[in-house]
Amino acid sequence: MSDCILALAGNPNVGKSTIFNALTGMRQHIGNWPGKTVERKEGHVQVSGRTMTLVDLPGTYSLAARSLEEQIARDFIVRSQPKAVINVLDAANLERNLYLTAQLLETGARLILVLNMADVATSRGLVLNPHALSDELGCPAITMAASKGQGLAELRAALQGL
Amino acid sequence: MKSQSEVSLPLPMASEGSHVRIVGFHGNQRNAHRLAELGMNPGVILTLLRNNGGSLLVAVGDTRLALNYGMAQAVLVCPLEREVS
Repeated sequence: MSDCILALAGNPNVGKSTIFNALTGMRQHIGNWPGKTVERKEGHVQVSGRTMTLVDLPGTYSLAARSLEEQIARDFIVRSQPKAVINVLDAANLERNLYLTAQLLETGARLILVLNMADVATSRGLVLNPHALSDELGCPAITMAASKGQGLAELRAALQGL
Repeated sequence: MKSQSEVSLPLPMASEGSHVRIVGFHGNQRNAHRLAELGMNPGVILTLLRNNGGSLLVAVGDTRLALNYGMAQAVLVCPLEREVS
């Protein structure tokens, strides 16, 4: 019943579960503290008639697993080989978030970058250039403010292309 | 890993509420690697929020991290005099 598997990955507290809920229509518990998701949760996304399974992974700073949550995330990405990994980043703290992105790229996974909390970044005077990031890393980059629903249509469009 | 001209001290010796810049790490590579993963790289500015003599609470960007004393001891910092927003 499901075409393919997608995974949501990123640092703790960047909005992975918010995006998961927005895409699946589920109500996975979210909270404004890191480490809310300690096990992986699954849901389904409908994209132009196709059903995709979306897996919400626990937040991790690195794939060199040190804690249980990080092991869950690493094992899933490496072993289950999802069709694409949606890497959620905190746009206001890009530099530290890109460490995990570099590791994800090394696994050879197909990435979709989501620069979440773009509204917060903009309010701090940061100017995001998703095209530059996209060109540099060779994967699509989307700016989003998931809590306000901005950018979800672009993400869906990117999923359609898979 | 650190430049010679700067004053550097282990993170637990900085005062509570102060802003410091990371200048390097000492101790084993495992700790340094983990700290870098958490966003604590040389040049990054930290705020030492709490230091109760056992563990420390620091702010790195928008994230707060709790460090045990041993881990914090491995971080060499340079205190910043001016306030950093």
